[in-house]
Formats: sequence, structure tokens, C-alpha cells
Amino acid sequence: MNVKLDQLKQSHVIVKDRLTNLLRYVILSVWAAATIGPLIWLLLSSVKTNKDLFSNPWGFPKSFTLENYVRAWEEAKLGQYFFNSVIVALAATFGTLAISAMAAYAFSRPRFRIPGKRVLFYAFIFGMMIPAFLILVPLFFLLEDLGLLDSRLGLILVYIAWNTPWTVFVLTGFFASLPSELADAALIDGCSEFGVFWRVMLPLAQPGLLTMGILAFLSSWKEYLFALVLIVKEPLRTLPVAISVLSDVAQYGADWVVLYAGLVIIMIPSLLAYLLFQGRIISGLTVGALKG
Amino acid sequence: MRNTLRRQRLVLGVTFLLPAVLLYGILVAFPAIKAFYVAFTSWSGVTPKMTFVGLANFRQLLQDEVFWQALSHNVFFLIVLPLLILPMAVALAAMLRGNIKGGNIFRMAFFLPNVMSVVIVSVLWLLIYSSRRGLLNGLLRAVGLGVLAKPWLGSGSTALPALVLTYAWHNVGYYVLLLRAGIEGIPEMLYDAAKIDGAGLWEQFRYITLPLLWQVVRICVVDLVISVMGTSLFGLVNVMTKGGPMHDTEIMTTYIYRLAFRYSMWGYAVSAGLLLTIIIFVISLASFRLMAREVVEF
Repeated sequence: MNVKLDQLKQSHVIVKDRLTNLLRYVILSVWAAATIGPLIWLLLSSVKTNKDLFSNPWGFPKSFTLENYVRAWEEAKLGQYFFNSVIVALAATFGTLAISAMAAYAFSRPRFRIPGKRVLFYAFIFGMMIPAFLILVPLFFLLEDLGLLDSRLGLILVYIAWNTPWTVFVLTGFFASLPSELADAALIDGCSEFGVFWRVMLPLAQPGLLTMGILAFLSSWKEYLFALVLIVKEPLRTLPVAISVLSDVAQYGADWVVLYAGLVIIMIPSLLAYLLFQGRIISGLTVGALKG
Repeated sequence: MRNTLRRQRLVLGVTFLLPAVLLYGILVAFPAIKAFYVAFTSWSGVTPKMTFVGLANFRQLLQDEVFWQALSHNVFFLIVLPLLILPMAVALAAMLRGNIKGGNIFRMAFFLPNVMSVVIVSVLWLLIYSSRRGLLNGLLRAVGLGVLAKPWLGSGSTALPALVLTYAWHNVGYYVLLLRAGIEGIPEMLYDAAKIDGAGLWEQFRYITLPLLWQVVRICVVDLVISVMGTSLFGLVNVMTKGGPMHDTEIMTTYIYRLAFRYSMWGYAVSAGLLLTIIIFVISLASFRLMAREVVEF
């Protein structure tokens, strides 16, 4: 009698589970469609002509043209802004990694006895909580006084300064986990302290550096507020600002398809980076958020 | 030998720390301290003259109609966004548990919107919400619901929800990511034991996944709350509506931006920035405390 009841209960659970599973797939698929749908629409629209777009906003393109992409790159000068973004992001990334690795190394090894090192570290970390909108105006005037306003160099330095606390925090943990026996062995072999850093520790830290480098690059590539405020001259604009200006212009004019093509262009580097470095990006973001 | 090594270490240590400390000190810490000071002066920005006026700037802010409008919109986002995003993210993360066919495709699809920058997403949805050429109205018309088609970003009552939807689309993937990491930390053994006791998928979620995930949910809420007051939402609103129409979607960050860089009210903008900073600290602490639960040990 009990066995029969149990069997009944079990089959009841199995049916319920099958339904739940089906529901699960439906919901996940709906969400996936909602996520990819707009992107497909964007792609389809970017190869239409303006007339086609106007008469048929969300159907398949009646004709196929890549002219929009050419125009976005040249007429809308996205090629130039792309170049600006590349320079700024690359320089900011290298700068961030360089000074953060050095600082993280100094923070992480107890052999570097510097008075107030601990306080300095905590002040650094505490500084991560400073909101951008607090320093926005004073920073603007500071850069103006330093002659760095409206220049790519100024923006690069700001990005480095802004990315550093976070990068130092993660890299310090990384360096701290490296064994000091290797350093001692190298020192006995006549290596200088700098040599230990350059030849032993830094190569060992490569995975961490790569991950932080990718994150720093992506964050500089897509940054909007400082790029908007600190650069005024049109030729020096970075992509995020340029695309928002293009969007404003399209609203007054009628050339929409160029905007669609422009969007696709600007999306490509981010998508590529994601496809290539998916694992590192995800682990970098998760570790950061959950630890910090 | 010992002394030279010690000196070498001191020199190296200081030299290694110097660039980061200097750059950060000059470009971030210094402006922050300056902001604290300027907020209590009457600074026009044109002249370096600053006279101490105490709380006068803040009094002016509190009497500013637009300030209160902006703050109310921030509150709207603070309440609606977590209520919308987090249950969805928890549900999606839980649904991705275990081996499901196409799991990798789903996972990649979910994070895709977050990979794109705020500006890209904002312009994309600007196009989607467009009244004549947009995807949304196009879809509505195609299924015969054309009567529901509206100029979504053109009026305050529809613009705010529209912005909420866009922000959710952009960011759910990120929280799904964090929650998935949390779920991976739950031992499979617990689920196995529950299955033996006859627990189905729903019971497993309710009695195992949810309680053990709570600390991560808490982190997500605080993260979301802080980002509502930060650059991400600023980018979204500034690109999509610029705070309009007529301040209907104005939030504190767009208002500060406009005060400084459109109306040139520099000192006033700094005071607003300081007030914003204080608000951020207060609400992130409050939301963290409010969500405290007993930590479940397993």
C-alpha cells in the first residue's frame, strides 16, 4: 500500500518536473529572442536604403546595400572617431597596467616597508567610492588650468587615474599570492629587486595582467561622461560621444540608415572582444563584484 | 649588504608607488576635496573668487523645483528597477542551472546586451522606440495592435517606463552572471538530497537556491542602487531623452550635467554633486542593511 502511494507521488513529481522544464525552455527562449531580436533588426535595417526603411521599418530589406557603412565611415567620419577611441583606449590600458602593476607589487610584498603604506592602500581603495559626478566640475577646471582640457592626453590620464584603484586592488591580491621563495632565489643569484619584479614576478602575473588589461580597455572604449565633458573639439571625439551626436543629427535630418550602419560598426569591437575573451571578462567581472 | 638591500627596497617601493598615488591624488582625490570645499562657497566659475556662504547653496537646491523633480525620478528608478530586474535575473539564473540543451547559447545571448556600451544600447532603443520607423510600433501595427502605438519617448508617462525597459534589457545579463556565480557555489549534494525527498524543480528553487543565494542578491541590489545614481543611467537618459520632454525624465546626474555645462552654474552644480554623493552613501548603506537576513550555513 505504501509502495503504491510512493510510486504515485513520484510520477506526480515527474510530470510536474516535465512541465516545469518545458516552461523553463519557453521562458529562456523568449528571453533569448528578446535579446537577439533587436540586434538582428538593427543588422537588417543597416543594409536598407532610407526609402526602404521608411516604407518597411521592420520587414526584410527590399534591396541590399553596403553603401551606408561606407558613408558612416567617411561622411559621418566614424573612421576618424574610431581612430581616436583606439588611441585613447590603448594608451589608457597600457598606462593603467604599468602604474597599477608597480603599485600593486609594492603594496603586496611585505618586504617593502614604507611608513604609512597600509593607510595609503586603504585610502586608495576608499577612493574607489568617489562618484564621477562629484569630481566632474573641479576636474574640468583642473584640466583647463593644466592645459590638458580638450586633448586626448588629458582624457587618457583621467582614464588611467580612474581605472587605477580597481586594478591595483585586484593585482595586489594577485601579487600577494606569488611565492617569495622565487624572489629570494633570484636575489641570491645576484638579481636586483627591480630585476626580481621585471624578470620573475611580472611574467608570473601575466594572466592577471591580461584580464585587467582587457577590462581596462573595454571600460575606456565605452566610457561616455568624461569623453563628453573633457573633449570639445569635434575631430578629437571618441566613438561613444560621436555616435550620440550622430543620433541627434539624424533626428533633425532624414538620413537614418547611416546611423544604423554606424551603430553596427561601433558594436563590432565590443562583440569581437567578448567573443575572444569571454572567459576572462566574465571571471574578471564576477570576482570583482563578489569580492569587493 | 643588508643596508644596501634595505635601501634598495625603500627606493623601489616608493618609486613604484609614486606614479599611481600621484596621478590618482591629482586627478581624483584633489578634485574631490576641492568639491567638498567649493560646495560651501559662492563660486561663479568665471573668477577664482570664492566666498564662504555656508549652506546657502543647499538651501537653494532644496527650493529648486527641477531638483525635486529629478530626485523623484531617481526614486522611481530606485524602486522600479530592482523590482523588475532582480526577480528576472534570479529566475533566469536558476533556470540556467544544470545541463540544459543549448545552455551555452542561452548564456551567451543573455550577456550580449551588457557587452555593448550604454551609448550603443541607448541609440539602439531610441531607434526601436521611434514612432514611425521603430521596431516596437512596427511590431504592434503588424499584429493589429496599432492603436497602442505611441511616441514612447515623447511624453513623460510613457518615457520613464520606456527607459526602465531599456535599462533592464541592458543590465539583466550582468546580474544573471553574478547570480550564476552564486548558484555555482551551492553544493549539488543539497539538491540531490532534496530530490530523494521528493522535491521537484520548483521546491528545489524555493527552499535551496533562493535562501542560499540571498547574500548575492543583496550585493546585486546595492550595485543596482548605486548605478541608478551613476554614469550608466546618466548615459542612458542623456542620450535617449536628455531629461526631456521638459524635465519629465530628468534625473540628478543629467541635471548636474546640465547645470554645469549648459547653464554654466558651476558652483551650484558642485553643491548638487556633493548632495548626490551623500544620497548615494545613505541609500546604499540603507539598502544593504534593509536586506540583511540570517546567514544560512551549509
